[in-house]
Amino acid sequence: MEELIHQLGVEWKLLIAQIINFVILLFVLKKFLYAPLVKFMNMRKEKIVSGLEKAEQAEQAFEKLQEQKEQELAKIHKQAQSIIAKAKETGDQKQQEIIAATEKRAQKIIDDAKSQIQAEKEVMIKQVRSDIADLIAGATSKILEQEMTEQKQKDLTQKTLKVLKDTT
Amino acid sequence: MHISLAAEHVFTLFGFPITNTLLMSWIAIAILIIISIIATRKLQLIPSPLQNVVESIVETMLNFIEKVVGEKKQAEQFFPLIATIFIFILLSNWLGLVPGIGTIGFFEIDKAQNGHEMFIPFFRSTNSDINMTLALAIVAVIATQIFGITAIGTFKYISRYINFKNPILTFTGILELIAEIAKLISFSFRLFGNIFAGEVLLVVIAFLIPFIAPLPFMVLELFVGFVQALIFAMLTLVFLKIATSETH
Repeated sequence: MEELIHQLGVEWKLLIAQIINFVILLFVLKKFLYAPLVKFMNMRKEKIVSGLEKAEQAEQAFEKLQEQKEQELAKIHKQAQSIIAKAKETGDQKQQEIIAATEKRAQKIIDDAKSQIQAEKEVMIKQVRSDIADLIAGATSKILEQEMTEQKQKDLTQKTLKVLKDTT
Repeated sequence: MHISLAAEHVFTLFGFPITNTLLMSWIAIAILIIISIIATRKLQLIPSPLQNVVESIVETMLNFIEKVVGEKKQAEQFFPLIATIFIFILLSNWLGLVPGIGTIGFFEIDKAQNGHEMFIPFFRSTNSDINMTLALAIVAVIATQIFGITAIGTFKYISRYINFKNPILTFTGILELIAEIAKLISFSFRLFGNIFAGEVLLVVIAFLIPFIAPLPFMVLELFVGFVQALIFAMLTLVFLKIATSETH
């Protein structure tokens, strides 16, 4: 046994040295490699998980917003359509009104003109009649060669006017 | 060609023998410590390439342990020990395969072999020394006991091995004790045997056919190095799980 151990080269000093070496390596690696790295990797994992969650939330919010936007747009479109329709309607109405008013005014102007013409015509006729009566009275007096009194002249004129009126 | 089962002494420091395997293990430890400090000095949310590599290794191991143990909290408890065992064994196995690393050394006159000149390399694969593998096995087995005691209580844990309630339990207790010692031996000799055999194989092949022929064996040894690291870590993990579970 002793011989075997010696042949294999087992030496207590070396054995203990190697144990100490390995234990030192174990503790150094634990302190400098495993502990910080595992802690760090767990932290990053958490960060990634929370980041993904946040991204999903953001996406959802974005989709919601998009939907809202579309709805709003549709609403606005509808509103715009109705406003246009209303404007068209009122425009048509206004047009009709204006046309009607214009027609009315034109009619009125025509009427006014007509009545004025009528009145003027009447005045003219009146004038003409009196002129003619005067003329006839003058002519009559000249034919009769006698001076007429003012009273007679007037009477004659009246009479002539009456005749003229009756004849026309 | 000289093949020594024991690791060669390179020099002696204050009466303490420094072997080439010890030197190699120091290199592995130094590399691991330097990388871990550089990688975690400035941890960033968007990792740098080195941080990325280290992170993915750590995460893979952690997930693997979690799958075996089935519990996140316990997995994080076991993780440092298992991960260190795996990384350290893997790195030292692979460091031993670096081409030409066994050729750096010096000649010494061996008094035991009638003054025959002997080549002593400075570096030799760490796990081709029984001291290293036995040290790892001792750490693993002691850690198993410590985890078992803290998980289910001192008295309950000891009653697994020493129990006088009935003869059957007494007998199984003795068996359990033997099993713990068997663990030490199987752990240390499996790793030692595989790596030492690999070293010898490579030396012999390189001696017989120096060109090209060693390459497939090199690849094979890379694989063996990985598998041995995995086996050591996995067995430790399984023993830890058994030691910390109540039903027994």
